[in-house]
Amino acid sequence: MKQTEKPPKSKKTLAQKLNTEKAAGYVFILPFIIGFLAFMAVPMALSFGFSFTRYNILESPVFIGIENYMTMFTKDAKFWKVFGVTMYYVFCSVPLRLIMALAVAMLLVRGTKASGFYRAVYYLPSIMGSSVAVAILWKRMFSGDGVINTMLQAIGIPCSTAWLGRSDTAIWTLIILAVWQFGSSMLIFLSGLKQIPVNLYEAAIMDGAGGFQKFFKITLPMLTPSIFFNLINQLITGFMAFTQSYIITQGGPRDSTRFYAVYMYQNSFTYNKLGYGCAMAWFMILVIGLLTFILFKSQNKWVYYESEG
Amino acid sequence: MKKKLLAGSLAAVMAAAAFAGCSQGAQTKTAKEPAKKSETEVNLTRSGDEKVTLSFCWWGNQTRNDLTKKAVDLYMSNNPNVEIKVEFTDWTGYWDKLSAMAAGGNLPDIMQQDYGYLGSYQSSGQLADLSEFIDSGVIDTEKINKSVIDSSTIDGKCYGISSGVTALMMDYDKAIVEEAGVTIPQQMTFDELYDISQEIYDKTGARTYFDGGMNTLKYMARVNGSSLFEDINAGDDTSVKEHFALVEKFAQAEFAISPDVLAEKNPYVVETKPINDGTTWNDFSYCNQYISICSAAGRELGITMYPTVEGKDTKPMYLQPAAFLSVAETSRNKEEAAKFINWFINSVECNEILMAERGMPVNTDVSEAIKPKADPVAQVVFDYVAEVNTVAGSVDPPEPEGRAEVDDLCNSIVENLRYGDITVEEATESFMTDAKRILDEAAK
Amino acid sequence: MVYPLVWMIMSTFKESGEIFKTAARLIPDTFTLENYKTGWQGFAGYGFGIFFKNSFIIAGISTIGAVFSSAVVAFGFARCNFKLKGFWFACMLVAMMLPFQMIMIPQYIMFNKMGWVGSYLPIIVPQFFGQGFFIFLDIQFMKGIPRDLDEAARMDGCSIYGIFARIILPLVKPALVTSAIFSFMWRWDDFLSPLIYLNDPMKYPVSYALKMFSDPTVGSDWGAMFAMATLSLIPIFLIFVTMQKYLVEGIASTGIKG
Repeated sequence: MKQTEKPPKSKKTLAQKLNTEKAAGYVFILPFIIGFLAFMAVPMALSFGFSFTRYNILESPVFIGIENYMTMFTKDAKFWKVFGVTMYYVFCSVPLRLIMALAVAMLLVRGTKASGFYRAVYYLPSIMGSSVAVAILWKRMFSGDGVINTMLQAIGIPCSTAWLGRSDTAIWTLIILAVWQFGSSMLIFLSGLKQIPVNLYEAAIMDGAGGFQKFFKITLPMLTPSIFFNLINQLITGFMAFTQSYIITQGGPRDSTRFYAVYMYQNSFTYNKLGYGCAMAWFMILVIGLLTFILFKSQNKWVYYESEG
Repeated sequence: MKKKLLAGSLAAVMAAAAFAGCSQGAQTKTAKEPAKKSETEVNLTRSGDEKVTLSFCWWGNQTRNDLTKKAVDLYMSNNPNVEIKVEFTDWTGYWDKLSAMAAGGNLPDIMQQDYGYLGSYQSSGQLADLSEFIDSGVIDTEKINKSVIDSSTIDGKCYGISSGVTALMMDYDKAIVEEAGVTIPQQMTFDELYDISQEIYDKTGARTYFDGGMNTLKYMARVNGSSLFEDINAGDDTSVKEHFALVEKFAQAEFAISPDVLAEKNPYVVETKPINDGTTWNDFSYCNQYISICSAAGRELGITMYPTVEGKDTKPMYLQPAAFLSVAETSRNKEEAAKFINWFINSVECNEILMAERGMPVNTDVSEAIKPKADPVAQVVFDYVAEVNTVAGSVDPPEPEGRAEVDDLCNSIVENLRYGDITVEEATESFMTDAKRILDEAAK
Repeated sequence: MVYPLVWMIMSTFKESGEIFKTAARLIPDTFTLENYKTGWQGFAGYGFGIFFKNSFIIAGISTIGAVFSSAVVAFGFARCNFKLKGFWFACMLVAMMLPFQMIMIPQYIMFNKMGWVGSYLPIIVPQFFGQGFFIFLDIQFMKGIPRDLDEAARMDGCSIYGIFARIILPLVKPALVTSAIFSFMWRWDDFLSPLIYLNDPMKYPVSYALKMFSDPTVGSDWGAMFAMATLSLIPIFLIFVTMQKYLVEGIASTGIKG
């Protein structure tokens, strides 16, 4: 590591040395390296270390080898339950959210006054985040006599389900919440769309391409870096989803909405088993890491970078 | 092999860091701050007394924060040599923060503690023994019921003074009860509750909620003259089985609130309790929540004791200490902290400000002195606590580590029972084995 | 789409106790500003004026730090080839995947030893060393810029640093603006690090103060909480509205030739 920080010995002046890609690369990422080593590396190593201990925060950790991991995989039935729930949530909400965000971004990309207004409107739900107000309202809307059922009845579907009370439907109220808050992904798509050079479209129109073709031949390929980013990012945030479950459903009914991050937090701080919580965290990193790795490897199949031709 | 080495060395590094964090952090941080402060303050004020700085941390809402700060200000004006720095936060955040502070070795001098957490903080040596201050008279406990002090006494040493007491209660809708023409006795049996529930349902359609959670389970053990955690350790499943049988009986009854609706209207959150909109006619809680439940329900509710089992001569009702004040073991000013706690608990002027916001004052004189000043809804609570006091047994010892996990275990088993996924036998068996395993692991 | 927000705003004008009871209705029976009054007073003499000021300090400084440091780091990853690049990139991703709660305790011990606990330093300073999310975002945008531009600039004698400052930075403005919007919002909403690191109510930000209206053990003042929560949305919303103009301008008009 250290060797690479020094540019190779040569007769060049310092300025010249620093102007090589190798050296400049390190100069540019230096802030990150310093920050990472100073603020992240030690806590990260510690949390990894904790995962091999019994540690209740109040007393010193006791080394117990891989016991936490063994418990996790073989004894803790709830662990696999929350893992399944989270996977389900991630794989349902992420694609839906991205499709929604992309569709709306396409509609709002024009710089007219009205679209500025709508952008704000569609972004609002994300601003509200997972505040208590959203939690309360969400519960109200999906209750047996709530707005959703009234609407369903109005269009002729007799329905009085307590959506949040049934273990098969409760998770969907949270998925809908996630999709509803598509604003941040939309924003990224919007800025991605803005980066597509106009002359590409001009050329396409000259070639007589229709709107459909323009979308699939130009917009979509040019947008793949943003899609890729959103996908990775949503994957990570999806796995880390916490507040929705914590304040709207409290994990119930019958653990059907208990997310991985919630269970991890409960173990760490409610049950005072930080060691076990850390083991859960590192398993999660392994899973997200693997998925991310696969996505990165698949990049050259579908992601188009202008700079790489 | 390599991996093992890596894991081993990591663990060593980490353990060293954590140790250092605990010991060094404690000394440098707490030692430095007050010392620095006192120097400058002394120079500034040129007073003869040495200035003492205490930190005081609690959880609470707007009302508690306002009142407690007021009381603290009064104390500071009475004792110019003492400066108290306050910190307050919400319940969940409080425990996150406190554990971080404990890990860093800088717990506040005075902290609000809870019955459920006191055990863990004590067993890890974070709390100061207050017995010496009680013996030396710094903290006056003469007017405090002995069971209150006992509730925070572990191995003969006292680790916190309760700043108020509360008691289990069943609250009910007066109008529905009246409409059904039934009378609610001061304390009924579970069988009576069943019959009354049926009658109310037949006449008014209002359903019944039966709390299957830990409060009732622990209470059931008390009915049988035992304590739940002792039962679990001893492998005695009598009370557990009785409890789950009751849960099932009340869940299968015609008058029961359905599990879906119950999951939606979470009875553990004041604002969504099923009694609020009249879905059920009753509700179970602690009486210090009575005022907020009434305001959430928008009407004055009736209040009665938890039901009991016919023909038992045990004393299942008890006064539960709410919000202890404890002193950190790392505190440099334990005696000053103890003085403050004494004032907080025993002085009328302080409690006239606090107005039983943390529960009924434990000092009986104080409690009587401030009662006339309380508003009518609060008076109901004063009377109820006084009433419970006449029949109360001694409180269970502080709960062992692992109790939070047992809590959740109980809740999820009860949920399965309500949905009819498992039988009472299965519920009992899985609770007994899992709870034992959890407690054993936590005790390691 | 906006029903929840309208509902929330309307609720702030209801009497505090009415919010839950009349949750199904939008329009309050009686119109009151009481919630704003009691809410603004804050707690124990610490008013929301203080909390807002603190939030602006934290979110403002953090955002400036995060946006620029991230852009610098991103350029390194996007445009330069150097040894161990993959390693550092992986470190960045792992750091993004680790929930704050899991490193909260060790980080607290560390900052405590550094004597930073009780100040804004543990919250703000790390922001100045690049944030994974923004770095990654910037990288994606920088990769979308054709290399021809760099080559041309090099021909003209521009150094790598010049390319970054004069060519790439202006071209990734949409990403920077997006980063700024997100960074401000996240720092504004974050309550966990203030909860852990601050110990004087004078320093509390809005996000943290909002938590204190509710207490599950004795009851909550929902009216005041909603009122203050509504106020706290205004700055993030304004940031979005002003910033999004720059998104619309975008670079399409400044013209890259593909």
